[in-house]
This record gives sequence, C-alpha cells and structure tokens, in this order.
Amino acid sequence: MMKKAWGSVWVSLLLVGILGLMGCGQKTETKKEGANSKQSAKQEAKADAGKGKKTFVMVPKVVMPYYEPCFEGFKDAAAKYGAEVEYLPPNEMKLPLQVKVIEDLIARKVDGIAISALDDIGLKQVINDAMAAGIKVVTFDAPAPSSNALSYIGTINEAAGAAAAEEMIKTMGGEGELAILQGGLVSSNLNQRFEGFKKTIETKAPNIKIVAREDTEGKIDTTVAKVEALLQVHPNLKAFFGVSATDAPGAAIVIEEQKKVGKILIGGFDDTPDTLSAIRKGTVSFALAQQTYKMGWLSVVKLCEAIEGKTIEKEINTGLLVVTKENVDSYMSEMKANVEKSDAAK
Amino acid sequence: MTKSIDSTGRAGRNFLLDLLKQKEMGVFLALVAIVAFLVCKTDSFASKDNLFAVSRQIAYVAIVALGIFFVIVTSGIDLSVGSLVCLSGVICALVLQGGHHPLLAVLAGLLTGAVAGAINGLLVSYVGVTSFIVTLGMLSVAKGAVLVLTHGDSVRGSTEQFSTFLDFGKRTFLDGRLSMPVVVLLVLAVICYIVLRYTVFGRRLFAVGGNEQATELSGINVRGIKFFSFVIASVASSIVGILYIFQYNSAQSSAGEGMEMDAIAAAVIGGTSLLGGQGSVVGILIGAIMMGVIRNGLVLMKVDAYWQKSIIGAIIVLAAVIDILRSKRK
Repeated sequence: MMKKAWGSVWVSLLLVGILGLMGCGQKTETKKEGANSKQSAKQEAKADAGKGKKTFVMVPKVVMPYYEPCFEGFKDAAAKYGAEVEYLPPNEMKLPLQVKVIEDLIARKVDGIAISALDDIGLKQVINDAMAAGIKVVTFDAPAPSSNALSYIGTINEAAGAAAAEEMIKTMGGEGELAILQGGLVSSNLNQRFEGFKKTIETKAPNIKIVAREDTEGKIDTTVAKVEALLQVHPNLKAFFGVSATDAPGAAIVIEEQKKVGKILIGGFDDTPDTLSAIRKGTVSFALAQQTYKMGWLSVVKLCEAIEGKTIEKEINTGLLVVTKENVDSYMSEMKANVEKSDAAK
Repeated sequence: MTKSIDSTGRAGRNFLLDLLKQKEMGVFLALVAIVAFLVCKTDSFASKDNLFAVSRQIAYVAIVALGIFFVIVTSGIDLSVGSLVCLSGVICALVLQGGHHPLLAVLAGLLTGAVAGAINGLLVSYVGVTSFIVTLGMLSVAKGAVLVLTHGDSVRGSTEQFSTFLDFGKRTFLDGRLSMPVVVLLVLAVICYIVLRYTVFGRRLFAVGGNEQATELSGINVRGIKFFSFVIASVASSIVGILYIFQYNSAQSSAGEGMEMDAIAAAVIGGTSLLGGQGSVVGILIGAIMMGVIRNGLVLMKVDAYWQKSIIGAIIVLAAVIDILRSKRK
C-alpha cells in the first residue's frame, strides 16, 4: 500500500513538473506578443468597435526560427484587418501531432487556418473536415494540393531551385565542381528545389559539374560529417549548395575551421540566423530567403477575402529574395516595406 | 566482460588463443577488414585531415555509448541521451553567453545532465516505471526545453568568456592529429574500463544485468546501482554537448538528434547484450569506430545518397546476427 501511495505521489510530482514547463513555454509566447501588440493596439481598438472579430490560427510544421517572420506578417496583417491571431505549432515535426492541432481547431470553430502542411495525403482528410465545418483553410510555405484548401501561398519550389541555380552560377563564375547537400531525401518540396536547381545548372552552365549529392538528414552533426568527408574525396571542389536550411551553416562551420573561406564557396536556401551570421563573416556567399513575412501577411488577406465570399487564386508564388553581404542587414525591413506598400496600393 | 574475466583467470597459457576467443574479436576483425578496404580503395581515408575529422565524429558517439552502456548492462535503456546532449550544450552556451566563467558554464552543463539523469533514475528504480517510457518522456521534455530556451535557433557566442572557452577546446594534440573530444574519450574510456572491471560498483552492475532478483536477494542495493547508471549516462551526454560547442562555435538546437540510436547501435555491434549483463568498453569503442568509419567510407566511396542508410542499417543487423551465431556455436 505504502509503495503504491508513494508511486502516485511521484507521478503527480512529475505531472506538475511537466505542466509547469509547458506553462513556462506559453508564458514566453504571450510575453512576446505583448511586446509587439503595443503598436497595433490602436488599430485593434478600431477593429473592436466593428465587433465580431475573426480568429485566424497559424499552424507551422514545428517551432523554428524560420516561421517567426511568417507569424509576424500574419500578426501585422491581422492588426490591419482587425482579426485575432494565434500561433499553434505541433510539439514535434510529426504528422499525427499536426492533424491533432487541426482537429482541436475544428472543435473550437475558429474562422480561419493557415497551415504549413507536413504532408499532402496525410492532411487531406482533416483539412477537408475543417473546410466542411465552415473554417477557411489556406496552406502557406508547404502545400497540400490533394486537399480542398483554398490556396497555397508560398514559394513554388521548382522555380525557386532554378533561381538558386542562377545565383550559384554567378557566384561560381560558371565553372567548377559543386557538391549538393540536402536534409532528407523524401521531402517533396526539397526534391522539387533540387530538380529545378539541377536542370538549370545542366542547361545554363555546362562547365559546372555536380560531383556529389549527400543527405544531411537536417541534422548539424550529419551535415558536418558529410562536408568533412566530401572535402577529402573531392580536392578540387569549388562550392557547396545547401538545399535545406541547416546545410549552408553546417558547411560554414567546417570551411571556417579548415580555413578555406573564400577558397570554397557556399550558397543555400533560407535565412536562418546562423546563415545570416555566416554571410556577415563572408563564409556563405548568398542565401535565398523565402518571403516568409509575405506568406504570413497574404494568408490573412486571403482568409479575409474567402470569408467575404471572394474566390481566391489556387496558387500564389511569393518569390525569393537573394541575401548577400550587401543587403544582409536591410533585406528584412525591405521585404516588410514592400509587402505593406503593395498591400496599400490595392 | 564476464568472458574476459574468465580468460584472464587462465591467462598465460596461450595468449594468442585467448585473444582470439574474446567476444569482441569477430567485430574487430571485421573492422580491420573494412579499414584495409578503405585504405586501398580511396586516397583520402588515411589522410591526416580525414583521420582527424573521423576520430572526432567517432569520439562523440563513443562517449555517449560509454555512458549508455552503464544503463544497458543493467538491462535498462536510455533514449534521452541524444536530446540531453543538446540541452546540456544549450545550457552551457547560455551561461557562457551570460558572461560567466567557463568553468561555471561547464559545471552548469554537467549539472543539467546529472539532474535529468537523477530524475530518470528515480522514476525507474524507485517508482518502478519502465526505463523505455521514462527516458522516452525525458527525450521529449529535454527537446521541448531546448525549444523554449532557443526557439529553434542556435546559441552563438559573442562574450569574452565564450572565446576563452572556445580557445581552450580547439586545442589539438600530437601535432594536430588528436582533437579535444578524442582526448576526452580516451580518458573516459580508461576510467570506465577501471570502474567496470576493478570496482565493486562495476561488478555489481554486471550482476544486476545478469540476474536482478538473485543480486537483490544477496543484499545488494540494486535500486541505487540502477539510479547511478542513469546519472552516468546523462552526464556522459552532457560532456558531448559541451564538446560539440568547441567544434560548432555555438550550441546548435539540432545537435545530438537521434544520437541515442547511434550509441545503442555502437554498443550492440561491440557485443553488448540489450538483455543486460554483457559487454565491454573495448567492444563499445570498436562498435563506435565501426559506425564512424562506415559512415565516412560511404561518402569517400561516393556511394549514392539513396543507398547509404540501407547499407548502414544492414551492417548493424549483420553484426548482431554474427554475434548471435558466434555465441550459439559456443
């Protein structure tokens, strides 16, 4: 008996601990919003007067710095158009968890959902359920074309790969050996980027030779190990191209350690803080920033339009920005200014 | 390990024969074959730069594997080691970034592991939850804590303390052949070898894994031993988390991801039984070297990226099968 009683005490202690931890996490989230909402307080008040505020929820794949500008755009647009927003990432990058988030939102009857789909087929049912329940759903960043989602707002990956190749050709001067890093070989958006990239290199720069393509599993440890090995086996390598966000900063770690900055060039997708700091140091030549702020902003705009009964485009290409040493500190504010300018022009 | 104690009992009769009878010998010969193959087939495998890089990659996995071995030998499992690598590194880096003394940062990193390991140990040995569930939970809690602390970003250094810390860790030895993680591994391996072989604690660890009930009946504090095995596993992860910062100049939020599987595989390849009671430090080192060399070799051999994972998986299974066949023949 005693033993059992102690057991339950321990278990409840553990539960309290876990709840405490979760509580902490949420506190930091709300705090962040609090700081940002000051500027939009006026607009909110205006919108409140119009009553019946809509609730829009952004569902990314997981917590990542990448999604922060998405949500910023989402929030800023919501402040302008008078909607409440929430940010509900799944705890882990796993399909069942993302499905669960959407199911909860259906039960809560929110007005709109913007989701970065972890999987097309896997989310089809739950997205259709949400639409059937009268919730407007758009996908941003990663599409779910099989579902009834109203629109995909994000980068068209094959075109993005082609644009990346153009930049890589420029950086490499049109010749030399190139190794490609890709975090995971099953993700369809990465594969499309790679296809677009490869096709453009092959047709426009026949003197650039793709000598390797390695799977870095989206993990820093694997990326570093693969880059170290590639440098051994290809002594004439001129450049690395990173298809996913962790690749360029991983390669940068090795290139800096081996003091080969400038001798071996790096370019890659996504403007993570690590990549940006490597661009400032000159280790990474360029990064292709997806217009994340624009994705978030347009998600709100399109959700509003859908609620008003307008038909919206099935696919909206948000395009890319090339980030180099020259614009590394200004590109984000330029991106935001452009979005707001074009929104005002409408 | 129990086998090797037997053989030292009869030592001196035929040294070479005894050596061949060692449980680890089969894997060791396989490793020698693979290394020989790579040395012949590639120009770069045996180069100084490559050996430096590969030995460092191996050291990380081997240290985690040495730690997890203490748990596995008592027939438990620890799935949280990978995410504790990450969390400890993040905590250490945050303390450095806060401008505190590097020693304090290292201590904070180690303490992170110790506390997490103590929680694991407490729940497993004193509450009686299976280690699989407890450590699976801890994996998630630690990963979650990293996200709360970093929002998925890395912790990069800008303080003076951070640079002092990095300068210390980037030191190399033997004319640039050995990195800090490799030196740390060698020291830890010697300590583990002595503890497992010559201390009462070490012998009892094997006894618990061999037959828990009998050990308990003979008046040994089985719970205490299991508790400490989890603390040791987690502290080993913390050490790796700290060592990673030396190489990455930052604490990366994806560091150590999935490392529990590499560590378990290294242990099993090296002859550790997941049922407990069997295995050795030498075996673990061989297992970790095998994994590291194969991963490196696949890139050097320019094996297609689509094939690499299957090949690694097949080799792990093959090693386990050979091990079973060997023990059955006896």
